[in-house]
Amino acid sequence: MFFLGDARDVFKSCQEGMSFKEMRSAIPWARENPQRLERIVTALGRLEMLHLGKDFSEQLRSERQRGRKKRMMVWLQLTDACNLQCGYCYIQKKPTHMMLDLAKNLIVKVASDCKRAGFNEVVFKFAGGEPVLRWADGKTLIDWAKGYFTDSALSVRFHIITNGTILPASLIEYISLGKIGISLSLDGTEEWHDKQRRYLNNVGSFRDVDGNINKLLSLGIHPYILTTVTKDNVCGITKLAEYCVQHELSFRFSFYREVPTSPDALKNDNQQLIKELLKCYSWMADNLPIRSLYESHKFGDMNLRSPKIRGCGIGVNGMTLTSDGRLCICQYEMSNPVGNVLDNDVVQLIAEQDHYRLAENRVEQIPVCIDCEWRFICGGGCPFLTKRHYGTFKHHSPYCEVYKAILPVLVELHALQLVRKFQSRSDQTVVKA
Amino acid sequence: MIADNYIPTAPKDLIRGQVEGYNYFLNPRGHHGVLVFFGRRS
Repeated sequence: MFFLGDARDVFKSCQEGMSFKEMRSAIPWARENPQRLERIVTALGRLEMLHLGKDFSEQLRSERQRGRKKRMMVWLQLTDACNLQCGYCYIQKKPTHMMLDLAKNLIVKVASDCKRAGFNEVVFKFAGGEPVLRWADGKTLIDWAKGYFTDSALSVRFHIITNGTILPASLIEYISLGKIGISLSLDGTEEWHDKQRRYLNNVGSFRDVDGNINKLLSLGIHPYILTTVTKDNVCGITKLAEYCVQHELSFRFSFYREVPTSPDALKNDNQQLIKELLKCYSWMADNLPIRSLYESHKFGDMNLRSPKIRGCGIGVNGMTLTSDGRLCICQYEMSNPVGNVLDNDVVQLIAEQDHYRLAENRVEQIPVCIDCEWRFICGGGCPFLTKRHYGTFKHHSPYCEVYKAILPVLVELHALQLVRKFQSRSDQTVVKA
Repeated sequence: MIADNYIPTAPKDLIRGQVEGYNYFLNPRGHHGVLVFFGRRS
């Protein structure tokens, strides 16, 4: 969002502590056009750049809530098996999978509980392991759900999180028809991706994944790229950004989260991570994506347009269902279920479980985060990673120094994209603020 | 309608900076992302 000079005049006057009346006499154009002054003040208020009183803020909040879709994201562990052996993966692989009848019962139960709790939409994410290994079941579920939920006020959608090594024609067809969305893991260009993402016979998977991405692109499908950054591929993230920007792919950097069995060798060195991220964002500053950065890139779970009080939707609008029908608050906590899906109200259970008490773990309740200017952007990071490192949720994230170093750069990158957008539209000289 | 004596204030924890001479702002508690103020067209 950007403004021309009149709004800048108003904002400056507010910063100088002027009342509305004082602005009317101090700003030359406002003397002639007080209605315009009021419109701009109100617009800045709506953009949350000015406080216009408690009533105004309450009205904004209720408008936002009315306009917002209440969405539950459900990780559905279709299978525990995988055809790759990525060193950083925290999912315990087993040759087990979710039976089709159980999957249908789980979907009906979750949808019913969500509807009762006032949700408008539930997105079931087929995950694993490698969910494409069970695509025949996935396809059956989508077809069945289309008939089952026809009259429901609740929207039920599907998404698949795949390693991209196998793409059956019917999956591509379903993506094309909008019946399912797709996210695909890519950890770098060949040299870097193959360090991390290898088949069980130790052969790298890049060529197959790259081939499938290009197949999707040739059909006009742009899969969302998920990248896990570890010490092994961190030096390749700039090349990956180049790949994604060139192919107009949206991509997200997630940072290695270990479990007790994970190899220490993959653990990020924060200083190296900062150095490589700075290099990557510097390249992006010279090669900005065509689409808005809000849509085309995510730095962890952070979204500059979505302030948060916790690192993610844990306990509120996200849940994980294991292949045997148990409920977990997060896929990272799949070995610690909180109950059985079919015997509980799942929305109530994820909110009231005692693995992570929602009421006690807001970012403002973490002593070291209270005064941090970035606390509502990072929300404190992944709480379970923090607990694994420090034995408590009430500590800053192990990636805190990375967030503090990179977030200012990311904000500047967004600003730069706005400047470029404005300059490309403007055929007249503008006076710099 | 805004009262004459009302003093609108900017959020106190606004994140601000400058890129290529333009001021930008982010209200970390807001829902609108980064905002940039440009000068008046000449």
